[in-house]
Amino acid sequence: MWAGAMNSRNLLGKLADFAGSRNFSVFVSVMAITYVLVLAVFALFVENRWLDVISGLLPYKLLYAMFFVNLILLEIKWIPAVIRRCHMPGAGRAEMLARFGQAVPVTGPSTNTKVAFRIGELVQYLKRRGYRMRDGNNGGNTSGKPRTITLLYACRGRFSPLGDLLFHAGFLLILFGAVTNVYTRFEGTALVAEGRSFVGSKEEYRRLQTASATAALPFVDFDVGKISADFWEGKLFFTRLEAQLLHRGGYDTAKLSDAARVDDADVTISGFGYVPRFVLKNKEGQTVEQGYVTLNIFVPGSEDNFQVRGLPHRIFVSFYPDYAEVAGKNVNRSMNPLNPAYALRIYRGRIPVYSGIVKQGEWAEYDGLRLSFPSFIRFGDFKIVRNPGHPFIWAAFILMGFGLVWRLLFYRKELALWRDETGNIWLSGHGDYYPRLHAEWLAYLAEKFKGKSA
Amino acid sequence: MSFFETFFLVVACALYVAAFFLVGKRWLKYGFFSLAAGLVFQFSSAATRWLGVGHPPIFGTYEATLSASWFLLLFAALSFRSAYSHFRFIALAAIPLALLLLIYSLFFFGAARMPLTISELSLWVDFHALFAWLAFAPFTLAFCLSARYLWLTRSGRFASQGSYPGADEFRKKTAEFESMQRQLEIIDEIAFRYVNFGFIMHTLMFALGSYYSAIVFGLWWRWDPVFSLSLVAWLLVGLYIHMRLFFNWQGRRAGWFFIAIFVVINLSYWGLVYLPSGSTFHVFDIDPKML
Repeated sequence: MWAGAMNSRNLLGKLADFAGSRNFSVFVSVMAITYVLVLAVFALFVENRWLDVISGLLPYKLLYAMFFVNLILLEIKWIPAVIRRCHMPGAGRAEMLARFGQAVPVTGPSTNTKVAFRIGELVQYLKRRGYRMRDGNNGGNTSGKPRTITLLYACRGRFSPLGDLLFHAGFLLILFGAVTNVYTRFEGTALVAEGRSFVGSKEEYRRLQTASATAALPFVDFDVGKISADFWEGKLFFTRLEAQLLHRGGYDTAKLSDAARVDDADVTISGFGYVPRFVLKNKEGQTVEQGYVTLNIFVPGSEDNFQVRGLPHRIFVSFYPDYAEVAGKNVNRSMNPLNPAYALRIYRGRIPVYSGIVKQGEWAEYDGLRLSFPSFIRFGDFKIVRNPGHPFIWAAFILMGFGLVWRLLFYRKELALWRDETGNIWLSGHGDYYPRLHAEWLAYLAEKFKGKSA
Repeated sequence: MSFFETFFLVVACALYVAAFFLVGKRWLKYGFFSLAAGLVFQFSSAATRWLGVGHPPIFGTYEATLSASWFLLLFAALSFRSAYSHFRFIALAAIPLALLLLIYSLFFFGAARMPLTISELSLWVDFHALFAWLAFAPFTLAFCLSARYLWLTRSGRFASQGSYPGADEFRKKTAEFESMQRQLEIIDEIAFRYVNFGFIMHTLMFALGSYYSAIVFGLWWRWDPVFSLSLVAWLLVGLYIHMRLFFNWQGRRAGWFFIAIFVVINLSYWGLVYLPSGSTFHVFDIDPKML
């Protein structure tokens, strides 16, 4: 029984070792590359929501799990090693030689180091480049016998290995942020017209997308002021779309590329449309009904319909912001509302009772009724989003960027000047990542600071 | 294109061609000055366009190649300052590549000026693109250096040719070999240095793109083909760095690996316009007639 338990413990230990190994990192990376490539191919043919479904399937979840298990186990292994690496090394010969693979001879046997090598100038040179220096010592030699003497030790980027940890810890923050979003994310869209209020009740949303059943509606309350839109050369190409919002915090402008922070949600405007004001009168000129009707008729050619309560007529409307009649055809000259007109088709049941163009202020007459559209306002298609996980993700990106810059640009470089038992002076060193370039640099320094009588 | 924009670009291209020949003749200093002057003129062309159209020239294939080629040649010019950076080779490789990029975009896409639409009007997008080109340039130079390494170490390159009867000749050949070996190691490490720098820039590009995606779409990540391809490229570069550091992949193996990665990088940068219409929002080439 004990043997069985020991065996299973050994097996678990081996599994944990493998899961925390660099070989496993490579395996997971190759898997991730393959999986993402599969999604990239799918992305060409299917809608984005299907990609979200595919990326949430079991093989992908397994991949995420393997990635983070590997990452956490490696981080645990790294921390002591990285801390050890950040210590200033001892200056003894054995340690020096063990640490530094490269050694460049500077001078032949010499007893006068100052003459043989211009240490003072080298120190100034290194200081200017941000190196921290430690005075040389004789390695604790008290015997009086000649032995290796470290004349100078210089180091830059001593703590840069911590950048590795920061970069990889960023992934864990991303995981935390992503999981937070899974349970608390909220996204909703609402059509709100100029001059109207939005108080964030469920009924006001046109479409709701909560990440989970537990995600509550965000607390959001604003009034919409003016909605402005500009088009390039009057074509269907927005160069400006913004809405003035009044909320508890004051005035703000919502754009697609710049969200307005309203209470605990971000509000952007991603589209707009027209809300014509209609007036319906009877034969006697008395108003039967009037009001605003929100219609999806922004893009010229698109048609929407509405019905006045209590009447059998269905009114189909399409909108020409800049109407003109060219060779008997109705055309729209630009997207700017310079000459607004409405193309109307009105049915009583299935019987057409009216068809024609009605300009702003003109009347369409049918079945003893008169219909006019004297003005219109705009509505905005607002997106209201709350992502509580995002701050963690942005923090992760900052951490990762900082970690990468620290580790890869300000990497650790070390240099030691020492004299061996025979009096020869050597320059040796170690540079992370680029040993050959470091060796070239050492050779350059050896030449640059060589003394005249060396 | 306005007159000044065209004029500055033509002068810049002429200076690049001159730099190519000067560097080819080993007049490195004059070649560098010609290259630097070309950069100033190309920047002037880009600035003229910027002033005219009201946004930095980073949208659409022509503007993308204008930025990409400028950054590529800027990195090539910067390599002049270091004695070990193989400026001559880098300049000789980067100048034709940069010119090819410009010719490709002008020939296939044209340089029509378009304003930005509402989803592109943000400083975040500008910086996102800036980091994209800051990543592309070093990756391209790393590719050139990797290719050079592979070319110099192609099979039979170091094989002895004939016999060396004398000790002097043997010594000479050995010294040549050692010098060559040293040069190869330097090329390999410079390529790695460019990859590392490109990786930092690629990461920052990702971060800014993700932040902007959260503003526009409300999502920090979308499985858009460009997101996916860029992620694949990023993962591959990350893997390259790990393989070099922990699995001792250097020299030819690393060179071949990076060349394969560079194919993916190029797909994510230049392949977008060939993706099916509507599959990504990263395509900025708009035909005004289609509006």
